[in-house]
Amino acid sequence: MKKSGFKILLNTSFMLFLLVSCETFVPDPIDPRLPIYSEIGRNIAGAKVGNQFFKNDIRPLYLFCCASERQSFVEDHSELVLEFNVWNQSQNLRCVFELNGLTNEDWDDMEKGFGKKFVFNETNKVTLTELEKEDFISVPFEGQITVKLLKNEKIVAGTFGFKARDSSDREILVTYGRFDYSYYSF
Amino acid sequence: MKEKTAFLIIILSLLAFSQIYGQVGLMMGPNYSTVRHSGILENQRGKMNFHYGVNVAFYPFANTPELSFKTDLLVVTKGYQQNLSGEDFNLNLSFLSFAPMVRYELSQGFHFHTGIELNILAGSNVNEGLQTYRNSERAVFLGLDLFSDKYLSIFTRASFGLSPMLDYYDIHPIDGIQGQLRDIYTTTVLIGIQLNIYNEKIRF
Repeated sequence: MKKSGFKILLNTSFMLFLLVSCETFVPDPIDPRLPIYSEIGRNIAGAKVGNQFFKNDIRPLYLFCCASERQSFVEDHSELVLEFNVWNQSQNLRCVFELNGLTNEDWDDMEKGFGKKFVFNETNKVTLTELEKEDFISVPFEGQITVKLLKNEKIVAGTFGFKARDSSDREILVTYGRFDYSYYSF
Repeated sequence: MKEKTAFLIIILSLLAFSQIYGQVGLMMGPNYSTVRHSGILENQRGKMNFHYGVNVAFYPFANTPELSFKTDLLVVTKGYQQNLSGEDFNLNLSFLSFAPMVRYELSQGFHFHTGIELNILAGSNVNEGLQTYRNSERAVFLGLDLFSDKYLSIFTRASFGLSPMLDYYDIHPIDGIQGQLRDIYTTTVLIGIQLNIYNEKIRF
């Protein structure tokens, strides 16, 4: 009986250790409600949507430091799709960015400086969906995503921000968006 | 064990150096720290921290006993607080501080001092704080020592950071990164007590 109690205590301690040791969230030095902007492949994203802050840091159920999976796309292809989820205490949002008609020059520019800026239009799109409702679709009418590619390190990072309208025609302002992912390429 | 030995060597060295007419002291106390910035930190305010360390003072000129040189070796924590969405976010940055200064005795036991701080960032309360903030800081300071001829004295000092602590990106809400951002300068007011463990004027 004593041995069983000891095992439970040991297992509980181990689980608590995993929870504590899994903290990977590094706060932004200007607004600590958001993750820091980085280009090292943290597999993390964050944004301010309206007045609420969303990020995808570790939650208690995620024990093994996998807040978000890597991105995967074809380098030197005419299309780049980035997908990730961000959340806060009450909402889960899915962000999908689709950049189409990419040229070799675009891919080269993504490797220079702070990256390549893509303005949202009919070619370059973003979809923001509230996962629980699945009808919180936004149509951006102003905004951009900047994509920085570090091909050798297999890292894709960047910033985004846009104004959009939801299904009820309400204006949504997405600001201070940032992402930093490692990626698989094919 | 090594740390204890190193500490003992430092204390003994300070005592040995002080034999050429000087003082050796231990100092500690609270400090109020805040930061100056270009408006990038929302709802920012100062916070209380602490400092402690040792110092040694020399009186190099026999015919000018009012003038002395002093060097502090301090561990000082600086930082600030932000209240965002009803939640307090604290930033603490702990520095190892080397602070040489000039002191002038205005009247007996009442010194004015001014000098420079060379600070090395040694710790932070935020995850990866050492990578996020610059690893060194320069500051100027001025202050007063009261009862400096006594065994127990009081000092106060205002320190103004000259080099920015943050080397980051200027991120526009919608348009993203606009360039590099170098900002956030510390301002710290220290108040403390100094225990003069060796003082030729109060030799014990």
